Amino acid sequence: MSDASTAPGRPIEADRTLSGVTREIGTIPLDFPARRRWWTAFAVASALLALYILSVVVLFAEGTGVWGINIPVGWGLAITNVVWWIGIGHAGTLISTLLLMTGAVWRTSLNRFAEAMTVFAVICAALYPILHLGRPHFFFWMIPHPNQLALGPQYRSPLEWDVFAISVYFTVSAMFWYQGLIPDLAAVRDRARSRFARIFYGLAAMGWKGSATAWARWRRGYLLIAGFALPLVVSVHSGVAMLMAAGPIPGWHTTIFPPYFVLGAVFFGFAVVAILASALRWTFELTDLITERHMAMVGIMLLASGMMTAYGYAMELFGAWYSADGFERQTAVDRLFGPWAPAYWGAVILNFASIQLFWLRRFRRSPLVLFLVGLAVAAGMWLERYFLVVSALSRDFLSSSWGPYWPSVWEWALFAGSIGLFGVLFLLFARFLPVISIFEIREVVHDLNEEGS
Amino acid sequence: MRLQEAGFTRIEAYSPIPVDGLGALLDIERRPLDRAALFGALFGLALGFAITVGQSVFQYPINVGGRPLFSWPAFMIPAFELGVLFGALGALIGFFRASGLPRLNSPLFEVERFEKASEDAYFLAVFADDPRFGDAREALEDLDPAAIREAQS
Repeated sequence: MSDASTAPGRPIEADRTLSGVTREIGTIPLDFPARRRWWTAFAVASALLALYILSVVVLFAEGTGVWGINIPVGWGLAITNVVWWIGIGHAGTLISTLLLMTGAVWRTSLNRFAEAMTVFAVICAALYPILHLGRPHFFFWMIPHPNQLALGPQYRSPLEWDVFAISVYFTVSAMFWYQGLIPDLAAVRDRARSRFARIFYGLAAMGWKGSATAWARWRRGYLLIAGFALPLVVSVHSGVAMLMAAGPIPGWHTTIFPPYFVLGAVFFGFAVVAILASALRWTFELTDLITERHMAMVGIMLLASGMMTAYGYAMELFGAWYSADGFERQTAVDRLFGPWAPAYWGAVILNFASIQLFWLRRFRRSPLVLFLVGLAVAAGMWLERYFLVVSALSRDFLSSSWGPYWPSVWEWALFAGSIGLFGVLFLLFARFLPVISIFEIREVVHDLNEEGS
Repeated sequence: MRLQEAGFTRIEAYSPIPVDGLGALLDIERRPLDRAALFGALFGLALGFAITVGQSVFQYPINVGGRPLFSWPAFMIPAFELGVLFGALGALIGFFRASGLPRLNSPLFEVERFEKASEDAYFLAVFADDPRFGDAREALEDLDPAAIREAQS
């Protein structure tokens, strides 16, 4: 808590009473303000979700042949999108766990929806490999179980590690999120008037009363789960990177990949936090809870993690040059000047040129700039994942295994649809659950009042 | 904690925010959760290692180019993931068990204005099985409370 007094600006600008805070956030699930903005967004997201369902039905009916993937480019948009979606989750986990453990007060307005973002992004990510299997109904073969085929999964494969990593990441993130929600669900339950709301929140809160015993246990349990979730960030995304680094393909076979992927994920995870924070702030008019200071902190995080990702870009090129391997160098040249140059330079401009704005305090504090830069970085990181996945496969050691790849309309439809899936889940969350941690804001208010008196 | 000094043992406080040090004052230890998490993590680690080694070495050995069947470094990642999973499960289940959740009904919910405990009010409860329950009203009045209510179970 020491950081609240030393850092410039107050953590929140809200009404400085405990009941005022409870009412301000608790009213969103109960009284549902901003109906028009919410319904507009929900209509768009639902339309995209319908597109998702349609693309999945077409995929299942026709097989992966409806996609543009081929031999040699067996990994196209599907893998690009897993890597992209799974990365979004990581900023949520870091905000919630690392900043919880270091006691940074400014996380309180951001952590709840960042955790929700993590859970939903991991759902979107996890569906992709299953769809990409071609025979998704055999997904359970990846899970160890006694069977009559006399086969077990291949535990030496990074693909199998991913099954463990992503499913555990999802489960632990969901547990962490739910445990954090319990006291707030109780607060909403106590304020609910309609019978349905009382039953719904009553069941969800599991009879939380706020006893000192429960609080003490709650805190300990929350900290423990945070401690478990933190190394998952590293293991999940380095697992994904190992899929590539473990192969001999030029452009993938490098030791920079695991840390490079993790940092990139953190970077644009924060970009998505910036998008969602500015959007929620605008939709529900939470300017006094998600303050300019929160915006500025997210901007600084973007700048810091973005520069670290830039180091990854530099090292990748250095590695290709220093290896003195003709094929590695060829892949690097293809990315810089060849057919992937638009994606490569697009990524560099969107990711790194855009964040340089945050050196200036004025831009850090502007929600609109943050929102736009967040969108730029999300698009830039998608381009990065895209050229990393595709450029390496389309030109490796033998000219007989060179081939182009163009995504088909169904791959684009599935990608757009997965954004709809995320949007629907997130909007339902914003509608029915407290988007900001009520009791943690209460704690902040309490501390501010103590200081003031 | 004047109630404790007066010999009350079955007391509990309710607050809208976690109060620093209150758990320690009420003599609530946090050990059981640490134990549950540690036990869970070790169990998951062992389980993950046992599954991977058991299947790759004994149940379904596949010889690929004469490489060793017991290639344990590759098995550490599934083992690590299961360790994390069961460790977190241990902490969560430990939290539920140790704090008596889920319990949807409680006589306390019938107490007038108890819902303020999730807003801005603080409550102190003395349970009926306290050996000095008979003197509770008097002792609580000494603390100058906003109100004293009796809940029927």
